[in-house]
Amino acid sequence: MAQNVKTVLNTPQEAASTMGKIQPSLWSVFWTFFKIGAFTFGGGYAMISLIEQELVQRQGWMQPNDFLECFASVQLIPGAVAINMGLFTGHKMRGAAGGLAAAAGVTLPSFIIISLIAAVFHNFHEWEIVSSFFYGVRPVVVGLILATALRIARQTLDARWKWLAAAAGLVIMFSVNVHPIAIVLLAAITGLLLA
Amino acid sequence: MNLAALYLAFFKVGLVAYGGGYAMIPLFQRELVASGWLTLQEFLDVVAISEMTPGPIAINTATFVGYRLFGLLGAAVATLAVISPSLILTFVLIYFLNRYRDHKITGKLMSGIQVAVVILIVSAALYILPSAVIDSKTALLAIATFILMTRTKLSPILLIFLGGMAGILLNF
Repeated sequence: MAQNVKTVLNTPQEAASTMGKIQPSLWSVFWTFFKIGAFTFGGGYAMISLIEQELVQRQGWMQPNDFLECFASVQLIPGAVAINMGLFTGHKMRGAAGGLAAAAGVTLPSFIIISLIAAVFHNFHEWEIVSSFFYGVRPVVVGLILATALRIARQTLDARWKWLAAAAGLVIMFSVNVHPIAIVLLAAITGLLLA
Repeated sequence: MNLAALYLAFFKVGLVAYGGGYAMIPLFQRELVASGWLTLQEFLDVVAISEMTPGPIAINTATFVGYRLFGLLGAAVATLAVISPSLILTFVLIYFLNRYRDHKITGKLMSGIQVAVVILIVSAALYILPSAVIDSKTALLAIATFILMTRTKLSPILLIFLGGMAGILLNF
């Protein structure tokens, strides 16, 4: 496997974690994320299961651990989960160029569709067929996200304190009006203390 | 109001775009409506449109407002602006993660972040739940999706489209 993509941000350890896996071309990275970006409704967290399915399972471009590490890192920065996931996973696979290709891929479909809507179809959200379509899509998205949460929980929460902390965090999120970043900070501190 | 101001406004939006689409809405409202880029009704329309188009709400809002104000160029500038914070902070974080990768503390912090990840994902679902599961038919769709996703390797995209078709048929 030709490891001929080196950026100043790649370390030996990082290269080792992707070595042995197939390296995608920049175009494949772009095109894969373009497809993901074009067809996923329901926000970043609905997209996660799709990204994982494509990159890890179907294409073998990443290992599950690397994917999860990217996803964890994404929680630390603002911005759409979809873009950030594209940046991190793209970078993991093909360095800075890969990150940019993925981000461009995932952004472009919305850019095109929304420009069309802004220019021509401004009332499309009032069309009845559209409302009916989304009446069905919304519950599917809920099921999707919960299934993804369960999958990721099973893969990453390998200690009892983690499950308890997750449960506690959920209770907090829904009883007090907490900003998500506060949850991340609290969880990080919990990790420092209990891990 | 010019392109530079547009870029700055959406750069700020990109900076506060944290927490998953729905958590961002009040923050966007403050940045965009209070400062006069959109009227409240326009903002609500954009949010409604965003929920019905693929793509993150931050991107959709930027593209829409940018287009309305300055055409395709405005759309491009605003979209680039809203993802700029992501670009910058991602590479900064990657640099630090690589430097401190083997520190014990990084490992512990990441363990904590894993917990946060699960919390945030579940809460994203629970946040949409009240408007998504509104009757027995939608409940059935949600449960069926959950079962199919945990038991089979069906594509999420397929399920989304099947759900949409079901929605159209059910409302026929």
